Amino acid sequence: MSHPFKILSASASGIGAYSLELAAVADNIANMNNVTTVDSDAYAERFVVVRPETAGTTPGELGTGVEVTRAEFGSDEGRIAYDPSHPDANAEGLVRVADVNLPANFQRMIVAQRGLQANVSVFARAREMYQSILSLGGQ
Amino acid sequence: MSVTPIAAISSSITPALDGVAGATGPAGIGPSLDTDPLTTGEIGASGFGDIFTSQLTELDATIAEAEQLSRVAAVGGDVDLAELMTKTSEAQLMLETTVAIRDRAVNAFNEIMGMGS
Repeated sequence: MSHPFKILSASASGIGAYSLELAAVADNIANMNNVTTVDSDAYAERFVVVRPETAGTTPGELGTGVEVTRAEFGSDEGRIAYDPSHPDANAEGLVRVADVNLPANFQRMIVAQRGLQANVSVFARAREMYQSILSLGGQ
Repeated sequence: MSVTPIAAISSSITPALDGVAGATGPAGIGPSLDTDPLTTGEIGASGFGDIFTSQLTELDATIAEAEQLSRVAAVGGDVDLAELMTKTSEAQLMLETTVAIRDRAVNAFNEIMGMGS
């Protein structure tokens, strides 16, 4: 379908991508203290991979926003910790805990929040713009 | 009675929207500039009535899409809130566009009808 409101759909795709990024960060932080047995995999960090959602490759042609291609997993290595009181600890008292990088996730969270706000601003501005176009030569 | 003046009105509205959206780019290649009745202003198979009907059809589809999303959201379904808001905004804008086109067309018609008095 040809889209009559191209700016709106482009910034809407940005809003969607950034909220997915925020969801990934929320997931990472929610799982950052997961403890498992040494034999199983630790929680793997979530990453969102995006690319421009271009319609064509002609120079000067504008795209239609951003597209989320996939969600990637980080390492499920985790790290080994000594916690003999934990029910999942093995004979040596070792467990595997998630290795989520909290500062990096906070950085991603700030970037995602600001990016989302920027896209919302563009959306609102574009909406105003279309409405003022509609009033062209108005009664 | 010919409706050519009305077609002229409608032909000036749509390119304005496209141009502001930056769709054409520096190359200035719009979607089939030569054959598009909206830009050539030709009245043939696609008169104002046909153009307006297709606009109405598209409006109907957009509103139906937004309505479906709101319905799912209202019963607590799995709906992305941002998607819901953007889709309803788009539907609202498209409704306003259609209403604006209709108003202009009716105005032009009334103008013509008032010529005799």
